[in-house]
Amino acid sequence: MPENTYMFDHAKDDSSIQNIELGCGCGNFGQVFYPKCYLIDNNVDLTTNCNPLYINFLCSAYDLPWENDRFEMVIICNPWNYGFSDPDESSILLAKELNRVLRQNGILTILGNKYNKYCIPQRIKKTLDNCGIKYQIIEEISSDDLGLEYYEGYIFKSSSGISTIVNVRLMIKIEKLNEN
Amino acid sequence: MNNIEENIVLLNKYPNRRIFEHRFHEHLSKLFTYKLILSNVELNNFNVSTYSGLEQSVIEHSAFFEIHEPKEVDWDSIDKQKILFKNHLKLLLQNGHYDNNQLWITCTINTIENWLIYKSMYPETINNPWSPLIEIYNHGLVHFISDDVLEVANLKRGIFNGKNEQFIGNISYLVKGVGKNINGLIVDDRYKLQTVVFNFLREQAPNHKSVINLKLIREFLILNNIKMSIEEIQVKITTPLKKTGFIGSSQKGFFFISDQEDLLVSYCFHMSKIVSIQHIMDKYIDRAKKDFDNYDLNEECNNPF
Repeated sequence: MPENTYMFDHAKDDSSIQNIELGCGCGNFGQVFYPKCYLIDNNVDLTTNCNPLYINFLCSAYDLPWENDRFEMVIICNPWNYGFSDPDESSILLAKELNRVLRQNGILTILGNKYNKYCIPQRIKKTLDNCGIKYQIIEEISSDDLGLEYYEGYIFKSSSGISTIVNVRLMIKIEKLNEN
Repeated sequence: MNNIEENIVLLNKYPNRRIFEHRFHEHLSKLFTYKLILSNVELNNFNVSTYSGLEQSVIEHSAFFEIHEPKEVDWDSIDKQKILFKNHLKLLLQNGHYDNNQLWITCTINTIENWLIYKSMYPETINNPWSPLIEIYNHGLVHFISDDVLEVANLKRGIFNGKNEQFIGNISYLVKGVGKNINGLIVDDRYKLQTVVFNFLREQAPNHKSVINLKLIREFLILNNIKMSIEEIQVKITTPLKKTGFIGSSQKGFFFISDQEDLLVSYCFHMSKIVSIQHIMDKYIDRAKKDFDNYDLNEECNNPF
């Protein structure tokens, strides 16, 4: 499939789709557990390496092509090589972009591994604080059985093809009192 | 490798390949062990995506390979250390010859952070996969990893010349000190071949009683249109596979280690080699004492550059 098949086109945007999963890889987690969900990633190789291929659009999480206040929920599932590893710099860029596309009181759902430096809850909160983003933690779960308990049957995988272990879930309501 | 130099001085001369080549492959081999054991999916390109995925898998699946349970990580401490290292590198590189220091700083700090995280999880381990890269850093080199052909070719002209051209798509590992000279390598197909031979041994040599020797491995590779000398097979395939701990060898050949007896056979075979080599080393030490004025071979050997 040519890469431009996965380029976002505003004319094709389905406004009924209220959720978006960033960095979906070869998986379809967002669509399985949060229906009406776009799946996006910026890795062009996915279009040739994934079988089946679920991705909707190729784009960067740091520069999403949608307008402000577009989504009810942004989902990030065990990110690697992007996310909240720095208390400043790229983490702030990401936080601001998520804040931009989420609606008032939209939800940021982040699943991860407790040793994954890109989605450690304290780093996420620190980044949001540094941005001046108002938020409320709705849920923070840490459990070795999280995958089995909430997402039974779904196999999370990294880009190396090895399964990944999801044992932390953070759900954050973004209050958006400030404009970006 | 237990320590990282907090105040390194970056190298001010052309980075010698001997500093980084073996160590970088040692790092990759440690990561790649996870792929061999946890996933039998064949490796196509060893690109940044695969490399990043392996880093992630190491952190998450480390308990499978480590003896002790992982400890909690002090993320505040790691954040503070990252800032110190970043500021130190910015200072060292700002007067250097190369403008785009951010690439080098980001990549090097990423590695340092991974090393710190793993060390926090397993303070006593000798298996930290990032230790070889920290050794390179301690020798005064920062690094950058990329599979972007244009980006790499701009940094290191000629890296894709000759037989390296066939490995375009794999990651390149580039190093520099404070000077403008950049050296590096592109990862070849050895990891793909390791997967092929690993699976071959697991099926055809499942224990120490069903071994396969180097000649047969070479013939197997030829049947798969891969021509390698015996020495190349040893360096690039069988020795790294033995370092995973899952492939053993005896006088007769190589085999998959599936039980305690297999492990013992391979261990005893290698122990006899160590004893034999130790006799040679002891003789050299005697000569150093007698004929070369008590020359300290151990100390000199630890600082070859």
